[in-house]
Amino acid sequence: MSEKETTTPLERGTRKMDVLMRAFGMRTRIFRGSSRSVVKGTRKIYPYELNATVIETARGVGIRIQLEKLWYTFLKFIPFLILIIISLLSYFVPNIGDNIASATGVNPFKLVLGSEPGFIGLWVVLPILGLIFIGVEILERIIRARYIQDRMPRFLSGAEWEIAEPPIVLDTVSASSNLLWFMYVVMILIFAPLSFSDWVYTKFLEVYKVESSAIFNTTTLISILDIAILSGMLFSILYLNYEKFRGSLDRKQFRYDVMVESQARQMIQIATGTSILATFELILFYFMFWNNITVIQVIIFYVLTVASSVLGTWLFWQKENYIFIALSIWFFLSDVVMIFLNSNNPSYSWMIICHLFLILFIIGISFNRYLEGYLAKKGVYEPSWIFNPFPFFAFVTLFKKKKVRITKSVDKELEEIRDEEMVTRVREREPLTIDANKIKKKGKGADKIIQYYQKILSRIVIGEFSILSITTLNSQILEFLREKKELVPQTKELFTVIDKLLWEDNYKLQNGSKYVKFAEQIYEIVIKMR
Amino acid sequence: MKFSKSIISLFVLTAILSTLTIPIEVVGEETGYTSPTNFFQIGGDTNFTAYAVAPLSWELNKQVNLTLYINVTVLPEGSNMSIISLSYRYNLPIPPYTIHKPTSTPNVMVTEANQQVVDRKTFRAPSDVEEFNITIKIIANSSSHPENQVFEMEFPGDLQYIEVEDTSANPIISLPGFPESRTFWRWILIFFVAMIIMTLPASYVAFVKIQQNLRNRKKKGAKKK
Repeated sequence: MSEKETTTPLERGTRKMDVLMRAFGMRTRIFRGSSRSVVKGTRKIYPYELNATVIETARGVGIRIQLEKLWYTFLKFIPFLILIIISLLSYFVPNIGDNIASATGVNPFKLVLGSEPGFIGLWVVLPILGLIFIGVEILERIIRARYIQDRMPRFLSGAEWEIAEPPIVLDTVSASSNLLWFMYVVMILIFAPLSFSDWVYTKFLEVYKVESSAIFNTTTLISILDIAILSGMLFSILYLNYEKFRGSLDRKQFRYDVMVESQARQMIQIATGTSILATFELILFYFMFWNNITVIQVIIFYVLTVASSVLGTWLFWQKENYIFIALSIWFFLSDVVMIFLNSNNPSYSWMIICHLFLILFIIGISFNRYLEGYLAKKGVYEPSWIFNPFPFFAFVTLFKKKKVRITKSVDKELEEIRDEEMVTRVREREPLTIDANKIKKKGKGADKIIQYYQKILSRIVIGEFSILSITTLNSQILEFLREKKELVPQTKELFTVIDKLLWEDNYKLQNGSKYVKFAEQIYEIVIKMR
Repeated sequence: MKFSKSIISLFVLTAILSTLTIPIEVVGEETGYTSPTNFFQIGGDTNFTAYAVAPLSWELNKQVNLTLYINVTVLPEGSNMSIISLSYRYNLPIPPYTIHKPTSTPNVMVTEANQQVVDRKTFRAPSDVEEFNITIKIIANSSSHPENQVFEMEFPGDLQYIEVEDTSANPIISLPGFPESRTFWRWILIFFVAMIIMTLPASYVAFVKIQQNLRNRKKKGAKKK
């Protein structure tokens, strides 16, 4: 690569920008012009673009980062909007629902909103939830763009660089948006027969010999348990998939996370994440299906969600598939328990049947994991799409055959860039600079010792000096001290300390003040001589 | 492989045979004690008799059949008699003393004498009692006396009580069947729609993989040629 001497600064800048964006986990495309080029990066599945425009100016290469197609984020509001419209229709023109119900037996409004929805609560909650999800994603994008913008100048100048990710809570919240809709589908399935119109529903009650209120209460209770366990376990899948990806990006964290510590950190983050998700679910479903939920049930819901997420994390560490197996086992065992309970209380009858089909549902969902691997091959890391009830953008993105660069070989390219820079630096014979702050950190008085050393050298040598000649300089200094032989061993000790201060990264200076005094003493001797 | 397959088929066969040989409880049997015949009269011209047939000892948690026979004995020509409703009530020695069972409204109209009306019901013995009896209430009228009249009879009439047998082998598991078809096919439809929507990602991957395989096969075929 070093043979390519003809590359312009613009080309070099573009290439670096491309690599940096890919190091941030983006897929990139490059558009080249004569005086400017644009690097487009896509992080998520749907158009989530970050444009970096690299411009050649008289003073070098300039870069501008822009968020593109921000309005696509607002598409997340569509399901909320649909629900708001349905609730408005159901409030103002309930006849539509009744007419459909008398014809088909299913009232679509009741099916979607629950049999006794709290309309005013829904109209408050739905927009708020939608705006939270949109806001979180926009915030995540802005933070990531700023990180890239901040790091770019240092990266372009060849300085040490590292990448950082936005706070994981943002990822968690955006992950919970898809899970929330998944749980909503499950809730519709569980409560569907209770929302059928009377001429169907009375027969349903007659067959099972239960009262309407009894079956409603039991269904609510079991659905609370189901949703808690499902959302806890599935959340741990999503979170740990994000974590896996982040770990490979955020190398610093990856390196320093000791195994036990990282486990504890993950557990805590998952517990907080699931609590957020549980709150969202509780707020939304309270106005739809869980009208008569009690305080004790709320507590059970929270505790069970967190507990199952922790269990799910543990299962994930063993193998990701175990979570789906565990969920199927839960549905089956709870079915058995309910069959026994049902002998005294026939209100469990419906949930027994429903659980049988939910096992099928879980098995179906578990196949969705293959999409995740498929997306990763295409350079898209977005595990939450496996639980998306409407994966439209996933399909659009996968169908489009664009030539994109993915993060796979980014490490190798990074090394190449570093090697090239080393070669050019040596050729240009730039002055070697050592960071004063780095030396300062090595101990008290370290910077003063180096300052005195510099002063001594400047007295002895006029002009520049190079690394190779430092040893000869040191011997020159020792020659100055020929008359004071008692100082020689101490001076030699000082030289080794200075050497370590300059070149050894992990060196810790001790008795700094002693060496400072001694350096000062030598400096004074040198001043007297010259 | 053959061996294991034969074992599996053996298991299946034994399972099928065992289900066939295990005696299945027949619910519709009609044996038991016949209560004394009660004579009733509507107005002065219409007479009918009623008696019930049911076993005298009922097993707890098992279904028992009770059949009520109503015979119209005297009916003036041109007039008719109709049975409006039949209701059954358990009389227990301990609180809650009475349990009302669902009322049936047969709305049968009898136009000729010597016709028989039969009402078959299945009941379960009340729990927590050793003995009880049943009061049967018949509401009927005739064309000459259109006002409803209430007639009551007891089962088992001349004996005091029906005995409740508490068998030690109570069924612990009660398996509910699927909901009746009206509810069920509607729900299944919703379920499959949800299932298809939620497994779209998986089906997409399957679709792409199959397509790739086909393409690769075509390529291989072209190379061979």
